[in-house]
Amino acid sequence: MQARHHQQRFLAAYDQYADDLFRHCYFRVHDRELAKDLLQDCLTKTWRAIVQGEQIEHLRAYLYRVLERTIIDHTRRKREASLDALQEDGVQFGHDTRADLETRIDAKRAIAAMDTLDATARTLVLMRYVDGLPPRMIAKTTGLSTNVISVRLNRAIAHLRTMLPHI
Amino acid sequence: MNRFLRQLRSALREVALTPEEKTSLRATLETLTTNAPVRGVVHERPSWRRFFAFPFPLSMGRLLPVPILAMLTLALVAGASVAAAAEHAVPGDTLYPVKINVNEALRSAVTVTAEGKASWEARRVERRLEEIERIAEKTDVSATQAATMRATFDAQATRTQQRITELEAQGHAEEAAAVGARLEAVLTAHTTILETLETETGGTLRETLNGVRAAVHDAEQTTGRARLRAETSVVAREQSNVRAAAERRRTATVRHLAEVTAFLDRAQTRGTVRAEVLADARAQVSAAEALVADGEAKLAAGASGDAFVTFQEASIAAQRAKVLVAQNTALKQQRQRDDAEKKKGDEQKKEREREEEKREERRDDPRSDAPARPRRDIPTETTTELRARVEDVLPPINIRTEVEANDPVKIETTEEAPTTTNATNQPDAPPDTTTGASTIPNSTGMVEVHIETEAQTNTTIIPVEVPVRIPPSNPANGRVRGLLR
Repeated sequence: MQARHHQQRFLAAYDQYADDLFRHCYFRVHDRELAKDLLQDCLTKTWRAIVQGEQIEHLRAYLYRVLERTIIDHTRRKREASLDALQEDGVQFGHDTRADLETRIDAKRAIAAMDTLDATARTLVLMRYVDGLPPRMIAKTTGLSTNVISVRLNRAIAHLRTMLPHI
Repeated sequence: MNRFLRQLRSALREVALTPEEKTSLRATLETLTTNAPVRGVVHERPSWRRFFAFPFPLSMGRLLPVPILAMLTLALVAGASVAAAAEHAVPGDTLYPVKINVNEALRSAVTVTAEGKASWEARRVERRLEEIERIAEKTDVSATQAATMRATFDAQATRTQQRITELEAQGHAEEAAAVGARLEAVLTAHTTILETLETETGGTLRETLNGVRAAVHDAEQTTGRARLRAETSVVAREQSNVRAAAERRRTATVRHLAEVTAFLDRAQTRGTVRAEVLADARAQVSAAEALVADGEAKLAAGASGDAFVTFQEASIAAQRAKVLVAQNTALKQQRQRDDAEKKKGDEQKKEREREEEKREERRDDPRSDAPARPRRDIPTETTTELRARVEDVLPPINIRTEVEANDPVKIETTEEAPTTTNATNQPDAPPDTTTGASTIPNSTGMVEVHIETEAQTNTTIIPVEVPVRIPPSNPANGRVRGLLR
């Protein structure tokens, strides 16, 4: 019964957060397939921790932390893919049927603008404004203070505004 | 949230998994979470319950009720020395069931990690083979004994292979490959040892050993395949992961090789092993060294997958050398011990004969007023009768008591209503009216046999196989305590 409970909780978390986690990964590694692999790695590691009896209070925060570590582990081993490589490969998007051409163009620009930010700022913007995490939870996952987070977010947004004047 | 942030958000949300990707990843996770479920999480259960909840091999897939396990454990605690003595038991010994079903089951229960469990199961396979070889050295083996030993070995080997497969399924392919390699090395080494023993013996024993060797060979093949599968899934990983795995394997193999070399050196200085065995082991070690060098070259050339497999092979060769020497040493030592015991036994026999003569002389002397030794007021049976009766209860088990033939003994029996464990079995046979005994088809369970002699008291727990025949409880016969489920 306990086993079922854990399994359901874990799968529910996947359904809810998979896209957010995938996006994080994607903005860090700029490779769709690799991002998927890393996401799967992160989920497997988390499940292993649950199996080994680790007490996880906030599964969402925990997933972000594990993902972060997985990405770091990966990038330490392999130099991060360059932006050029990204442009050569062509940026791929999720298939949101509602998205019209205009938002697609916006998306392409927004992604390019995001890549001009440094990795931490990018993560913070994603967590705060795309995933909608409260600053306290961001602090918990990143280990930064809420103060530092809000300062960096303000700077990042100001930068994005100059990069994306048309929005 | 202002307009800019809203738009930024919706633009960035475009980066997402496609529905197909999401479904396929979910399916993977469902398989993972079902195959490796959360079980027995420590903090969720009081520790004593967890302790008693170990899956007992006789429980037919269910857990034994806590009272029985508690009792077993009590018996174990009370008989810690029994447990220690049981460690050296071989099939046919009174304490052998204790070794298999109590000592080893307990150790399985306290091993937590999947890897630990798998390597302990592998060690159990090795222990079965060691026992078979010790018996072959010592005595002649009866046909039933041989069949039992083979069955136990087969069951253990199958269980270990399952563990290895499970380990791989849980994503520990590297560990699965390591355990598989170890087991394979053990099996190969024992095939060689059994071959040697075969040439040294003749008659039925030779046939028995031949049968065992065939079983070992089969197990070796299956294990080899399992190892190969695990290795393939390690090598199929991402390149950087494979490299890391190969490097870890190299470190482990180099350390292992150093240990084995030191072990062989010690064996050589002590002279505990025959020269040809040592030469064979040395050849294995040099092969392993060559393989390590080969692996290093492959690693340097960037062929991490090949390097991983080569290091695995080196580790197998090293382990094989170690098992060869260790088991040959153990067998030699046993031979020496047996010789010493035989000598001692002969002396004791002579001593007893001398005392008997003296006593006879005294009895003949009419002036002797030595008080008659008080007889214990217990219903008595001879050991031969006891053995007949116990074997009646436990047909497939060969019981050897430490009691000499025709010593007076007392057996205790308490019967509990047995139940059939499987609903699909035939209904209970009607009681045998002539003897009052009843036969229960397809029952399994435990019988605790309490054997008391003037010299010693011995309690042993014996697994009961089908069918079980329970003798009528007759107070005049004493009591055999049967715990049947």
